[in-house]
Amino acid sequence: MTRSKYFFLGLCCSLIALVINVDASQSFRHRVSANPILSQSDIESDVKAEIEFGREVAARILGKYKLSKDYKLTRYITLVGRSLALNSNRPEIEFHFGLLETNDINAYSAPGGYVFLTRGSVNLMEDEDELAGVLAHEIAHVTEMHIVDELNIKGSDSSMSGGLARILGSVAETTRVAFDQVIDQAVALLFKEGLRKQDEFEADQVGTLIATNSGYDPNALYRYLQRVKLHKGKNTEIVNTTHPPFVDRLVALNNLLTEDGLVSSKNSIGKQRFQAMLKK
Amino acid sequence: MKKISKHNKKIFIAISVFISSSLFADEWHYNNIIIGERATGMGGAYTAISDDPSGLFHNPAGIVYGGKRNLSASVNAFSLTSTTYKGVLGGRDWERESSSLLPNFFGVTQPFAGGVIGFSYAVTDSISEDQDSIFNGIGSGGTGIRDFVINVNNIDNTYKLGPSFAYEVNDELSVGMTLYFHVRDQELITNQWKRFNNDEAQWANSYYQSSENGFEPVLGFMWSPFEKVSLGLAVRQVVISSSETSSQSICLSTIPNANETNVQCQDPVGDIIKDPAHGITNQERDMPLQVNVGMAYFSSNTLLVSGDLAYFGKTDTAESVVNIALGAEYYINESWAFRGGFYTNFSNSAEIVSTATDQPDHVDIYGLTFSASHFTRDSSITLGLSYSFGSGDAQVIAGDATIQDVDVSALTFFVSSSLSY
Repeated sequence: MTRSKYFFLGLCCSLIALVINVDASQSFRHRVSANPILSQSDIESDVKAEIEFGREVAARILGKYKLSKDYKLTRYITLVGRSLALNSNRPEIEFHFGLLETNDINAYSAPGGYVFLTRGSVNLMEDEDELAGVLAHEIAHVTEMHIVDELNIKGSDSSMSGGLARILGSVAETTRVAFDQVIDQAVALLFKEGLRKQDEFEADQVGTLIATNSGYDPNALYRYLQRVKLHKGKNTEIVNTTHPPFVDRLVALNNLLTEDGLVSSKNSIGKQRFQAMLKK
Repeated sequence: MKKISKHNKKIFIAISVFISSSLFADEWHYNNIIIGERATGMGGAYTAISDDPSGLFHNPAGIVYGGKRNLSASVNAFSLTSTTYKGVLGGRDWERESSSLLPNFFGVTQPFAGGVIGFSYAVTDSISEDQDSIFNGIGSGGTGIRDFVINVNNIDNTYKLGPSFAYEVNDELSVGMTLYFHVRDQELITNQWKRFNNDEAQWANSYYQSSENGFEPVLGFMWSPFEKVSLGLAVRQVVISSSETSSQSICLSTIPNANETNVQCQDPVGDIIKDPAHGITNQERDMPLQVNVGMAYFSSNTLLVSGDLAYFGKTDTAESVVNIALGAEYYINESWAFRGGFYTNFSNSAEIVSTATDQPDHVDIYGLTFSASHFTRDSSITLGLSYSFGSGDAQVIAGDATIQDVDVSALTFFVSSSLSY
């Protein structure tokens, strides 16, 4: 019975504590082991995993939309995209660009450098600067690793203790199933749920800087988004669902342009080139 | 922990002839195996931590704080247990040993529907005893026992497996629930042979088998009232849904009219031996309500201390009991952590009195644990050991009110791993 008294004393103390409402977060739970020092092989493994994962996600995108056989336009988009990628901070990534034959107005990027524009979005553009603005926005999702961070995509642990842990845990099959599930989650992010709002704002800002550094008009993405905002109909359903309101994005972009003093530049060659490609 | 029902116990005492049946199932302690990679090293003081897959067992509310999306963990343990009864046979000690090597935990967690789901498997008790003991020249003169042989084969395992779900109500509070399917299987075979000083002999063989199924809902809460402080509460109750216990025994004696002194022993006439005695029952055990309260202090990202109180309610056959556990975890760097713990495993049996017979052992056990973990970015490997010890009283001889001293010790080595993917 004495032990019972100790127990109830402890229980009472706990209940008293329960009525005290003190704000706290659970970040204190994080142990130092959660931030391991990564080796070079870990980093290389992460990049490899990101590319393999992105390839799977790209395959899902191409399962939903037909890849365009307009090789001339695709080559043009690729040239613009790769010139932008040269000014990004992910030299280890080889970017791939594709055109999707759908009237939806949207663009997608998968980890590892897989970027897709829809025919509907390209048709709404007026010049190469806007094309660059949209491509740079998608490149920024890759360079800032938004999906990678959201879904915790990383390479396999090749260390001896990591291998031993997998043997003891017998998780090979579990890992494969989890990999498939994470791909599903990535597809859901792209087509249904959308990335986090701050990730979209960051992609607008970083993308604008990439495009500007590549010699394109810093206002191009702003102009394009204004046009999409005014577009009514089913073709913008997904982009409206998966992105923050255009009003908010335009305000954030305007602040960036003002604060960083980014000035519009004339690019008549780019406009002619773009219109020639689309035969406008 | 299983108890032989009063009815079954009566049958089994009768067939055991010499050694009291209550010795063969450690249903008198609730804390024989500590579950979990970190929890084991910390003496089981884990109710207020529980932020990894072993939280599915200790406090499901904690799994929302796992920090990584998908986690799995497993524990493999090798245990050696020794129980020594003092001065049982002509002043000699009787030592029993049990060993087991088993994967005693596996758990996985994953985000789902705004919360975290998980599935876990735990072995909460395991005895594997296979022993032959021979005592010669115990005594001389009269009708006392001169030689005694006992063979014991005892397998007794309790498993839990089932799903969990946890939800973070807000930054400070989370709730979780695990619904375990409970299984216990026990099989006990004893063979006892006695030679008396007058050269008469008795031989008895008994077989006891019991299986039960049930459910164990576990409801957990995790609350952080202050920065760096976490409080955990877990309430659980095993409900037995089906149970079947059967036994059979036979006893032969050269003592004329042995049946008159021992209801189960027969003095065969010529070559005629009676059929073994049978017993069967479906009586379900009464299981205790268990309430765990814990507090943990996350001093820094390298130091953590915690404490638990575990209350087990009174049942038809067991007293209420409160166990305590204290633990600490220290990371010397990002790759290595060490843990230590202390815990109690108090007996839930009543104090043994000299006016009764066939009372279960009453031994309060204390334990110390230690473990070391090596981390990579996706995994950890832990090696550890646990040592427990205790002493108390026992009544080894069936139908005899004599009380013997008993010492218990157990050493467990475990290796465990956890992965995120």
